Amino acid sequence: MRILIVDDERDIQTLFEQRFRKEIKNNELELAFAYSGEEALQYLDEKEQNAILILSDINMPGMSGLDLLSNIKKKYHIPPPLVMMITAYGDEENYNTAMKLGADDFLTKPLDFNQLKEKIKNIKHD
Amino acid sequence: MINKCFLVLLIITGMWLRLPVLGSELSDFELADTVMINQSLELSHQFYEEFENDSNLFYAAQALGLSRQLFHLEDIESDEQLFNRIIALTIESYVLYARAILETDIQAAEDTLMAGLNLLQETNILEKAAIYSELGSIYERKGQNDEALQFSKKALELYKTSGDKKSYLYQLINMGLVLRVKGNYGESLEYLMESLKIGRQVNDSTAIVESLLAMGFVYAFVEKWDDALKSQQEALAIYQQANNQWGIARIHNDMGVTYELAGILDSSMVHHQAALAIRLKFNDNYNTFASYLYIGDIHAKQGNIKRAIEYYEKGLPFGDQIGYKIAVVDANLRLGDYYLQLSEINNSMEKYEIALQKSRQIGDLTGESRANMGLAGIAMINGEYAKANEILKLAEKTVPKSNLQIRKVIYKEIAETYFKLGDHKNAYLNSLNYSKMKDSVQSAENIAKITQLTNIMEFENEMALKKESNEKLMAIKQEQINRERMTRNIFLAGMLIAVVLVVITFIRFIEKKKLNKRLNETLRNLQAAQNQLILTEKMASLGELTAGIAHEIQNPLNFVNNFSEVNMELIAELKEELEAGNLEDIKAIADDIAINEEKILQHGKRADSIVKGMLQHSRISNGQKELTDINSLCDEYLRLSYHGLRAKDKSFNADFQTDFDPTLPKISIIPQDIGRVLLNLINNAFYTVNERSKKGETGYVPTVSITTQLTAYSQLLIAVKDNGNGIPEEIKNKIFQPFFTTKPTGEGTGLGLSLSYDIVKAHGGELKAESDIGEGTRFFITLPNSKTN
Repeated sequence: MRILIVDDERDIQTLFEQRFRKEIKNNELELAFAYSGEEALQYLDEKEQNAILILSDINMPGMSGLDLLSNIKKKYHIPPPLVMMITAYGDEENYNTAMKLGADDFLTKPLDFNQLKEKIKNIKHD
Repeated sequence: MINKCFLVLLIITGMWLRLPVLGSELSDFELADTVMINQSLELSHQFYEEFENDSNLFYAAQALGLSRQLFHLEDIESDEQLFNRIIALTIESYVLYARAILETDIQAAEDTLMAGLNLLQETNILEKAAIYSELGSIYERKGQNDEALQFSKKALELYKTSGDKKSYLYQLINMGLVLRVKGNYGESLEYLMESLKIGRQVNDSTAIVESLLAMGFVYAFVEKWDDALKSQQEALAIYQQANNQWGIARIHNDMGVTYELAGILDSSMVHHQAALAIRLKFNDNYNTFASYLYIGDIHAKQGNIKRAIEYYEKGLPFGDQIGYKIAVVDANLRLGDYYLQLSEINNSMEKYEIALQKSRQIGDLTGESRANMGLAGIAMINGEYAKANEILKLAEKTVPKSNLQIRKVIYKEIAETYFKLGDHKNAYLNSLNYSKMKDSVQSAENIAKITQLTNIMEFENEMALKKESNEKLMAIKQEQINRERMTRNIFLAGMLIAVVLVVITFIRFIEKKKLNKRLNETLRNLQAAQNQLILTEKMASLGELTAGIAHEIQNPLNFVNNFSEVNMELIAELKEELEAGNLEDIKAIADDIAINEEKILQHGKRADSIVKGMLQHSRISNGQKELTDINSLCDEYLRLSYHGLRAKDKSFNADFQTDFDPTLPKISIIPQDIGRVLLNLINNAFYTVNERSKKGETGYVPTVSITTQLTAYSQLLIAVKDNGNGIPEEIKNKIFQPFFTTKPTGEGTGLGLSLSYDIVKAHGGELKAESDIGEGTRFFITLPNSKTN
């Protein structure tokens, strides 16, 4: 299972690789990283819906997470990848917008990795 | 009065002349002659005073004869002193002789004076003036008013030239009298007013009284009774004050005449009686006589002929004592008339006879004619027409040609006698003469009346003119007073204005002071407000930053937390691997832990610097200059700005790019201040690109970029660029002005760029803007490459 993580913070890669170190080791998960919305779309274009789950930050310079969500949901209809939005600003407006645009889940920073792992486990089992 | 003055003058002159004579070296006969002349002159004068005309004339003639003899002596011219004295005596003799002969032969008097005048040299001004004055009087008596006026004027001019003020003053009165006789009442009054004025100036009561009395009759003749009486009463008051009984009587007389002329007979009577009462106490025959006659006439006018006769009879003995016999003749004639009215024929005839006799004695032709007329009238009453006719013919012979009035009556009565005698031819001829006379008399009366009226009119005109000129004078004076008052008022007004100005200035000074105080207060308030605003601006930008700061702190904190958690897991794994003795894995885990620790430290520091920056930012500019890395400062504030805006506006998004020159040296600046400038510029840039992106232009990518570089002039250049709407030309000049903002109310303080500008300036740098509509705006901060604090 491949997960694409989109965030302008480059250290997010180290963090995720550390956090999912065991899963990566056991080949349960495959992580891909993009540092902007544009990069993410480019990745998706190249890899052709390779990623089943997209974890995206909302606040990013240039294309925001919500723009990315909107693009993904419009572009890839069948079957659209799961998109989980992550934001430091867990406010109603962002949540509602994200849900309207077809976000599959809404996570707030700081990320609870155990919770995230659970959710991934559930997706795998579905 | 005038005559008296003149005499005084002559006497004084005579005395002056006589005294040195005694001590001079004159020959005996000459001395004897001069003494004789003097004696004769003195006697002449004495008799003149006593109205003894014949004796007066005798001695005057003697003096004149003697002085002329002396004057014609040949050797006398050699002694100039003597010659002058003889001339003086001769002149005096001429004058006294003229005066003596005046009563009987005016022509002789005139000739005498003219002869005396010829003797005078140019230098004898006073004597000349005296002669002119006397000549004026003579012509006045002769009824030659023009001549009288002419000589009086000459005398006046000479007196004026001589500087003899007193003589001049009395000559003025003389002029007034001459003009009054001439009927020039207005002119007369002018001279009299002048004499009155001078009289008052020199306090000459005689001149004042004479002027007033002369004026009194001028007023009376123009029927201004009130004015006449007023003048006379004023004169009376002067005499009363001086207790001059003679004068008081005189004025009562004048006032009696005035009332008589005015037709107020009772009042007239009172005054005449008063005058008479005083005069009877004095040995003043002439005036007592006059008073009796006046009273008699008033009684007659009142219809009491008996009383009139009574007074006339009482008066006549006084008249017999005086030298002026014409008056006595006249009195007898009138008394005859009064007796006739009472049909007391014998008494009447007696008086006419006396009048005839006396008139013949003194050569009073008019009196003689009138006396004969009276007698003729009595003859007619007695039916003696032939006798009457004869007497009337005598009367016709003696009556002066000029006396038309009498001649008229004479012709009428002659005609009547002829008619009675049956001589109709002569009656007719005389009737013709009568008619002629009547016409002449009528015309003469008319002329006289007209003259009188004209004179009165002229008087009125003159008075009107005088009044007008007086009014003009008064007006001029008033004008002067007004002008002075105005000048004073203007001065006062000026003072007032000055005072007011001073007060106003003072008040304004105080107000200004107050205003200054208020202004200073206001200024302080404004400065406080400005500081508050600056603080507010800082806080506002801080507010904008808060969200960004929160985000910026949150992220590193997340990393710190997450990496810590990871490390804890890794350490647990490490222990497991240790027990398993798997060295390779242990090493790998240890490396990871080291990396994570590094990340933790890194993000911890990152959070720390953000908090420090925030604190610095909120601090009012008391920051210290410190060597600062401009690139990292730019990066820091770009992020702060971006996340701040993102936090505030969820829909906000924009791309940002940085192009930092890695060779940029650290420079000495106040980081928080320059940070604020950057924050401002970046915020604005993001704001404008966001605004533009809201328009929904296709293909528009809102982008903000910051570039740094070292310029050729060793300056640091920071460029903040955006691809927003651009600044319209019309507001380009205003963007650095305080409180200028294009943002909606509440969104901007309008101080951002203004403060930024000031901060950059304070760093010795420059802040410039370039902008193109539709393309975007570029702000350039130039800072000196300064390493010093």
